[in-house]
Amino acid sequence: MLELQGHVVPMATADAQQHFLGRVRFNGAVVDSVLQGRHSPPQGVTQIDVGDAYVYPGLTDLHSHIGFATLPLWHEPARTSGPWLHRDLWPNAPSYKPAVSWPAYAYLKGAPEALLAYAQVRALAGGTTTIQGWPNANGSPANQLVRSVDDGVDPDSIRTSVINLTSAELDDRRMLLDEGRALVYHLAEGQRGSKVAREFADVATAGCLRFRLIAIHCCAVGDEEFRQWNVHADLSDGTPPGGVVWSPFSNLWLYDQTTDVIAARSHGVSVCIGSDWGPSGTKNLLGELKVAHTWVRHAALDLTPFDLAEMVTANPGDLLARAWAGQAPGRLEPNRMADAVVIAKRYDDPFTNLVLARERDIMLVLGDGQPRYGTAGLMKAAGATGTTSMRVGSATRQFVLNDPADPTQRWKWSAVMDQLRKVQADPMKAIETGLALEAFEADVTTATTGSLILESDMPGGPSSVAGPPPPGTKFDAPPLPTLIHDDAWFQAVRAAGYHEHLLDNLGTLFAPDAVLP
Amino acid sequence: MSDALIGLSWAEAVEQAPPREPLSPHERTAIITMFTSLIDGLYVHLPLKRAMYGIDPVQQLRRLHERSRLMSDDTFHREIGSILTNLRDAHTAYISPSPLAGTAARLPFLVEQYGSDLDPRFIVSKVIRELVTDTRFTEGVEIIEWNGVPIADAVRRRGESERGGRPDSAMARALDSLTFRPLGIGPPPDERWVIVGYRRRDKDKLREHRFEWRFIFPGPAPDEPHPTAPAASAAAIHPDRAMVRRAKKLSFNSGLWETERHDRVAAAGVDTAPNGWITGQFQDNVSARTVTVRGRDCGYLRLWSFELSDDDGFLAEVCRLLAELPQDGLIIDLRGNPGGLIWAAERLLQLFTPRSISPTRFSIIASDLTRAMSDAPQNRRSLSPWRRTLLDAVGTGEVYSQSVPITPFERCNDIGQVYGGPVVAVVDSTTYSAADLFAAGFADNGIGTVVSVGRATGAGGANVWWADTLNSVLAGTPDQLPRLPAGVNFTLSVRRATRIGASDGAPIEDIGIVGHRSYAMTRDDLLSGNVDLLTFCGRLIESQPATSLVVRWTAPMLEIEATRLDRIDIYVDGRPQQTHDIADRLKVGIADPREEIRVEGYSGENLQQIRTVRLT
Repeated sequence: MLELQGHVVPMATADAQQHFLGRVRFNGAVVDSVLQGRHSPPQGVTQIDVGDAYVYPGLTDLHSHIGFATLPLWHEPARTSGPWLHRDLWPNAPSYKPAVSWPAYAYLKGAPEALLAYAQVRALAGGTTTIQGWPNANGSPANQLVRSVDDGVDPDSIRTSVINLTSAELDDRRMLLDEGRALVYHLAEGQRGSKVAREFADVATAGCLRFRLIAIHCCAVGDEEFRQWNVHADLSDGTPPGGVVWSPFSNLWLYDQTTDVIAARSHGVSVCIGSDWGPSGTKNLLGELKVAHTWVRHAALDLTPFDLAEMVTANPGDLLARAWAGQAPGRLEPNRMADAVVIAKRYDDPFTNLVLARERDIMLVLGDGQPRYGTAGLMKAAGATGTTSMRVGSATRQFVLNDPADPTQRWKWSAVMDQLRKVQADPMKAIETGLALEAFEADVTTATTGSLILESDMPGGPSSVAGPPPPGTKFDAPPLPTLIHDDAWFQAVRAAGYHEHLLDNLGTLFAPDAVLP
Repeated sequence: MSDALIGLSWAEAVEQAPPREPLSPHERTAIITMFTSLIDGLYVHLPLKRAMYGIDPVQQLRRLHERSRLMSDDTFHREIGSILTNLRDAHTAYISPSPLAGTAARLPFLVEQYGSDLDPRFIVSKVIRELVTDTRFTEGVEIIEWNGVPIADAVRRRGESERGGRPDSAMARALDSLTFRPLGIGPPPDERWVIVGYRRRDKDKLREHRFEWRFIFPGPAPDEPHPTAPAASAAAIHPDRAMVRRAKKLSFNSGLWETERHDRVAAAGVDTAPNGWITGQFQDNVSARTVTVRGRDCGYLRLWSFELSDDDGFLAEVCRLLAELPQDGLIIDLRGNPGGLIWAAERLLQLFTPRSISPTRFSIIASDLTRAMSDAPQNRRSLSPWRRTLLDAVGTGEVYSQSVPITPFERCNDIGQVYGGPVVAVVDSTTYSAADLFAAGFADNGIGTVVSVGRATGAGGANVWWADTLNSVLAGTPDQLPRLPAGVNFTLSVRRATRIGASDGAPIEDIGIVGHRSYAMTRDDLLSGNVDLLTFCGRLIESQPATSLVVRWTAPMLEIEATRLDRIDIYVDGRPQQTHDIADRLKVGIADPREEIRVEGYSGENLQQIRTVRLT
């Protein structure tokens, strides 16, 4: 057994605001017990003392598209008419395909294992242990460092959809909801009252406003619709409604509006925070928490740092527990998943500490009770061997990667980055090479190599959000971004987007002396 | 109490039945040959039924031909009826020349079911008090046994002999047939009486009472189309259910039934005051009232049946009823609706939505018979949309013709939205045929939520023709019908319905329309006017963000009142003329409108309301 001793913030069901000096003991992939007070470990328990650092549940990001993690922020330079009305519009912008969908396709096809390794390390750097939005794959990747919401516990337990579902498809999803499965659905993404508000009405008509619906965005609708969800869930399941995933950065970047989370909460809709994707999102939940806080201040919302902390831990965990038969991350309680993140103490209030945490403050991340990411000392104490490392600002963090070509060997971070840079340097060649490999895999006359094949979670085809470039196309993939919120990223935020300069000073919340006003 | 309500005893019914001519060998051969030809060449569900139930009715008919000379008339008719019953298609029925044809056998009460399908309870929901001597046998008693058989088993066994594909649909019909049996279409009861075991409360001792079957004459619907009228070729109806509905009306609302037989206009006023019902000349088809659900008034539109021939009159009547109801929420109840005129059902949809209605499509099976039928001079106009692809199918090998609406698109959209509040439709497994089509159109055109009592609608997905219609349609073709013996009649599914919109191409037959939400009836529903069901629907309506639009035209000014709308676009004689932001009311001048003024109301970018003022 492994035990973390520190300042425990369990987000317990009985009293989520409670925190104390204590220990969290893990038995394999589940939490065994949570104990108050500092003590030497009993025999057979390996204790890791993190001093006064806070021990939180691992963070859960219910909205991402990790196939796009290698892309920087995107903004259509030719647009002069202000924020987009809704999500069906910006994929038609002139620069969208060369800047977003084609390079994303190149990484998916040219370096699938490296892409997933990069995306997972980026999530871990923000304390995330469970993430939604994985590309479709022909099998498991060589490295599964972060739990997949889409396929995590049981591939059939949760269905996801990025694109708008037809009424026949919604009928099918209603039957899945009836069977106790969950639906994670991009819904009503756009400005209030824009035509995508109709999507919410369609979901209501189809009987899908339910206990296990996790709706991403819902920024085009408001109080009345959330009330409707409450009534429908009660009528269908005799339960409260499901949850909405709030991605304030992406909403403000594209639409200059965001979800009415106060209305959602007032009608019992659980609110979670999701970081969305590279082209219009933050790099991880630490960034999104600060954007959420900025919006809370700007709109004078009645939300505290504790409320925000719940939105990345207990709330998404409890929503997943509805689909995963009670198993889930999000709370450090017996029989919950053994996910935890240790964050250096900078503030006395643990919830302020989480909201203002920076990547360099992440000291250790455990997933399924295993050391996934952390400082050299804590990783070693937790039993990790053969680690590779990367720079996080002025610090270094370690993690373990297996080489996809030979799983008995470790994979160096530099090798991962080399593969990605190779794709970035010549994306068309990467696509050709990747497709040739896929053709070889598909050829029934040759033995399969077991190579990973990825398809985007975004739709391809004629109106592609993620489809391939036409043959012979030449385009330059944008430079690989860093994995953390740094000056380059803050500069990009100030230079573009439709947030009306609201996010211009986001960097101050990452400063060493940041305070929550 | 009228003689019609009392009915005849078994002995009296048999005594009064007209004598029946015996069938000649030639007539038997003609009947078998006719059905062989029709099932093989015209029956539109044959591929589906063969696939779903593994049956071969054509071979069964050939086998019957070999054996028929050795049979009695009764056995012959029963065999023909059985072959058609095995198709499990309520649209396709053989009506034998029974001496009791046209009557319904009836026990003086109604049994209904509540609770889940897995653990149903059966109670008496209506009683003809004057005909029941056991004073303890009242509304609300629970039926435990039926002739000594546990009631659930008795219903299940009845279901096995009912036509209709889905088990729950057959069970619903079986429940009806416990106390109402349409004769001619189906056989008379085997038993002369029924011993019912019942309890008033859970812990009471079981009591028994013996009820004798009696025979009543429910008669046709007041506006039923003549079999050779154009409307008859656009029928989609469950004939058994239609007769049972009439029999229930005679049994439990005999005053209205008596009046409408003599004077349809006078009947309109019979049932208005006591329960707040609003009716009119189509009281056999539709009635309305205001219901109060959780302190809020809602409209309640009861669509009893689409058995009518005047769809224009019917729509005008529904528009009139809608205007008298609260405008911020409507429950449309189609439970037990056996169908009727497809035009009426599909044209009705437009009244509840600002969007254009796409009607259901129908196809004909491709065969030499249908090619000859579509080429016959009398059908070239009515069947021309199907003719080309029926002829092409010789080369393409297609099983079906192109799918074409029976109700033209223009007719489905010639009135437009009349009711602007949120709308919920309630269906059950006895919602059949044209009512199935209404439910399909309601769901596929995104009009509102369909609440299904049980799993789905009755799943009758075809245009059904009677023998008289087929007689005129097939006249002059190689398969024209023989002269049928007196009393022999039948119905046949001829055009197969497939859905539109997101469910494009999906058949309705044997599948039905699965509601967006399912609902299990409660005891209070059965005994207290659907109180829980109405509350369920009322909460759905109440939860829906609602808009409204009222338009008044007093030349040259147009007065507009709106709720939760942001923008109004005004079209005059089909051309855009003005657009205005709106908060709650607006008054604008319109120059020289000639035919119509159309006002569209938007919330954000979304069209929510349309009202049309017709000037001509």
